[in-house]
Amino acid sequence: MKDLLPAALMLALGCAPVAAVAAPIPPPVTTLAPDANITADEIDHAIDVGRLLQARLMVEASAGLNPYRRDRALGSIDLAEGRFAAALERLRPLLAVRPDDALALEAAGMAAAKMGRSDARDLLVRSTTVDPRRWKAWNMLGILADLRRDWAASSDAFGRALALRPGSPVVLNNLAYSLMLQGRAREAIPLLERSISAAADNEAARNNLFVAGAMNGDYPDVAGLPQAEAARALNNAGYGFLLRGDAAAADALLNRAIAANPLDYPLARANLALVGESAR
Amino acid sequence: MGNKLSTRLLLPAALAATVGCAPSSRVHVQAAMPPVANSPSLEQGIALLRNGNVSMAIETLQIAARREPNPRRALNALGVAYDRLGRFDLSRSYYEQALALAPADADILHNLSVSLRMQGRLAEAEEVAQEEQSRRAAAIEQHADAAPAPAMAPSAMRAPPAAMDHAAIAPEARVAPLPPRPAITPPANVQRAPVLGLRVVNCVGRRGMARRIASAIAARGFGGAELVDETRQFERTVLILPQAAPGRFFEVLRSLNLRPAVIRYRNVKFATLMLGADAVALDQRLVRARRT
Repeated sequence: MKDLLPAALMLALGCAPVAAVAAPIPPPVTTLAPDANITADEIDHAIDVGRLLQARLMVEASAGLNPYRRDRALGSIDLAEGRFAAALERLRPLLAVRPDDALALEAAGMAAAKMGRSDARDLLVRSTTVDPRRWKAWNMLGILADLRRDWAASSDAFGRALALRPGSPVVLNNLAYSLMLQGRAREAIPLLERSISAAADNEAARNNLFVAGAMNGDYPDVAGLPQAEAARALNNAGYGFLLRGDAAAADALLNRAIAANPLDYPLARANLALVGESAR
Repeated sequence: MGNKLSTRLLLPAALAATVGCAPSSRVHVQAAMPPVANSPSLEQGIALLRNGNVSMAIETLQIAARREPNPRRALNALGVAYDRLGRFDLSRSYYEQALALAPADADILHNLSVSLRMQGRLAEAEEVAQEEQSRRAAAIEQHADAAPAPAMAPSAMRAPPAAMDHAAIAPEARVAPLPPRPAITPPANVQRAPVLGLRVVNCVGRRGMARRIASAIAARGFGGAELVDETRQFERTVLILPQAAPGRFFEVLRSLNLRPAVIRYRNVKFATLMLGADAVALDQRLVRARRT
């Protein structure tokens, strides 16, 4: 059972799902003049706040950009767009040149963590040592501490990230998730609610809220939800009841989830199998 | 089962968590078309947008974006247009393209912030709004540094460059100050409301609608509203509020079954209620009530 990875909780926290759209996004129409007065700091800022298209256009237009800053920016964009190996490949040589570059350390550490590499923690710790304001590094250190079940370290790391980024929906969600790992679902719920109120489209936090609610013994209220959303809520709640050790409630909710979903729902079926295993 | 099971089942997913992980999007930069002198497309597009003809505006603005030597205004306007259609994926793309051309342009940041609020991404919206404020402050500082101003009244300060304003935004500077609020005695059964400067904007074109709804709000304690007719058409009612607006104002709106999209700004002085098509049902009720 422990090898099973329930997809219900394959939460790409902070990774916004692509919205269902009527038509694809057309390619940019913009071409920046080659002599555009673009500074590397502006590019770094655009990446930092998640405006990746803006950043990429600016990098492409800035022929005169310092090669080091250019590669660091492209590495950070690779990371943000999920190309972790490419990011690491681009960032590693930079760290050989400037081993104390907090931003490069942070980006490399995050890429390494996403790839499950053992050097991730060292890179992130170095980043926060050089610059204690690297909130993304603190956030990732919190996640890594959770993996080690080092709750004191994760609490400290998420606390620092939140102090630097008050109200960040991503960090709030991660802290809540950490509390759920510790079986402290009741404390996680208000954090998840805050996360959702700060970012209504935060799907990870919405899913976690149903799981945490169920871990706390609350049945989900799916009245009025669209069918697919209700099915997802029931699945998450069923999973939460499984974590709570209430196999009967989990079984009932997961069966409701399967019935509510107009299509096949392999995720809920997998979770239902977990319920069966837990009963053995 | 308890905590051990929780940890075992939850942990594998923990590493899936990260920050700033956005959906991948390949960027294809197209060669810009050579600029065409006196291209009317941009102004036409903005005018179409102001008149609510969003589809035509988009077509026109896309031509403008390819023809203008610096298409940042056209791109910004395209962002606004797609926000009106609820295509936030597209509006975001256009705002980012505009910002790539002018990263310090506070007007583009303003519109992006409004767009994020419309999506309920409030934390991100607030960050962009703060960036907008700091960019504006920096621009003013830079201006002052560049040319130490002779003694002049503050009103002589150069206004920010005209920009395509977002549908939901009526910049304070462009609106005439509110007339003195008439002394309205609230009905006996209505608690006196905290003072709140209010303007009610008719964004539907339904005659008398702003007046009737403002009267209904006044009857519940928030009187003295300025009435404004707006040529732009809104589907959804939008309420722009100062941060310090009294919470009772929401109760009043709720009692009227009016549920606007709320946008809070620190730097606005008045509440602006922009009535959209979703307020027509309320207005119809008010008309019926008056007849009976």
